Amino acid sequence: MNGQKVWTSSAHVARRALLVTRTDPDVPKHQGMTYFALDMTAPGVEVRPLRQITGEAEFNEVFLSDVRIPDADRIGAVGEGWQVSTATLMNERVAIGGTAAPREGGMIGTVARTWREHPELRTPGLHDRMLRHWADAEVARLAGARLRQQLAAGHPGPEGSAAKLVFARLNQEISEFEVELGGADGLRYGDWTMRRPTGADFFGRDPGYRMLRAKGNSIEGGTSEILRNIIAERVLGLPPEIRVDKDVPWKDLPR
Amino acid sequence: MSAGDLREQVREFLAAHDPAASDRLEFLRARFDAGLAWVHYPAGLGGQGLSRSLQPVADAEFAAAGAPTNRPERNGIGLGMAAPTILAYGSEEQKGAGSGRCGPERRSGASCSVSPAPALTWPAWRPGPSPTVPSGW
Repeated sequence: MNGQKVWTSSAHVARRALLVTRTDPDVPKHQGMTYFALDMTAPGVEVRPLRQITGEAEFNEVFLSDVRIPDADRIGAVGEGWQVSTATLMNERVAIGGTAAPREGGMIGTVARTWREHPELRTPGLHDRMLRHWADAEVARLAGARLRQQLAAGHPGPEGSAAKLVFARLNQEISEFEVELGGADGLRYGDWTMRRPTGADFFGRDPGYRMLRAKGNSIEGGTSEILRNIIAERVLGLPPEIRVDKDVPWKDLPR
Repeated sequence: MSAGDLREQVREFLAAHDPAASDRLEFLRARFDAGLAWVHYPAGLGGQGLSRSLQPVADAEFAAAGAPTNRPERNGIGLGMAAPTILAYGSEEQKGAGSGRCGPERRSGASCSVSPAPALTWPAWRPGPSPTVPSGW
């Protein structure tokens, strides 16, 4: 196996990685893929830290050079990798956007606290925005609770994509609002030391960190653009986007 | 099974396995074998085929007793993504490798070593209250 993956969380601590590979270039792109649990200690696996705008290298890029993978580590049938990875991604979206939180949990909680503790920051315009963010966050929270009730009866479906999409949008809006609320203080940044944490912390540290980290929310776990397509086509049943490459053998795609 | 039945089941388990007096890994393995790791997984794989919504009931009982966890907040990918994928598409052998028997002697099994160095002893994905979202992507 040869290739590279840019955003690989926990690669610096993981013993195994989930790997989707192109194993048959002669069929259209959704076919001809095969899924493995890659041994990260195998010869040819190289993990490099990627320093982000937050200062941390929370995730990595991974390079695979002539890595040999035993068939025992294959998950699912040869050529079935797309279906297998879809199961993984559906679970991912629910894990990111569908977590239970108390009222005023998550990003809205930190802003609400600042709002309550610092009346001197309030203006009528900010008050209006604060309440709109609060209501949006509460709607998302309750919708997530309903999604989990549906989940209790089955496996994650495309509906989880909506929870994840809204999670990203609200995190970005609310964390930006918090920086603005802080005025000049909002420009302070606590610590830009290069570190390699073992997990992601969306709601920790200071407003500046939270605002910068939230930028990743609309990329990680399915970009917001992809999620909107999924919602349109698989939840709402709208006509699919034209895909000229869907039936073309992967090896014939222009690149 | 009702929430009350499950609570009772956990209490019986805790009476037989005192968390304060047990080795952490052994406790987690016993919890897995009792089908109390993630109750919605199949019997033999850490669960007993119950509704997913009952998992928080079991978790709350274990937490109240001060029981050790497998630190699910550190392994969102292994527990939240790899495990359900293996459950859906893995071979019987691969499922077994992740079935709470991932001590040093089983470390080479595919699914049990998806996790970082501390062995994946039992899977516990569920929407959790932790403000630190696991690095699940």
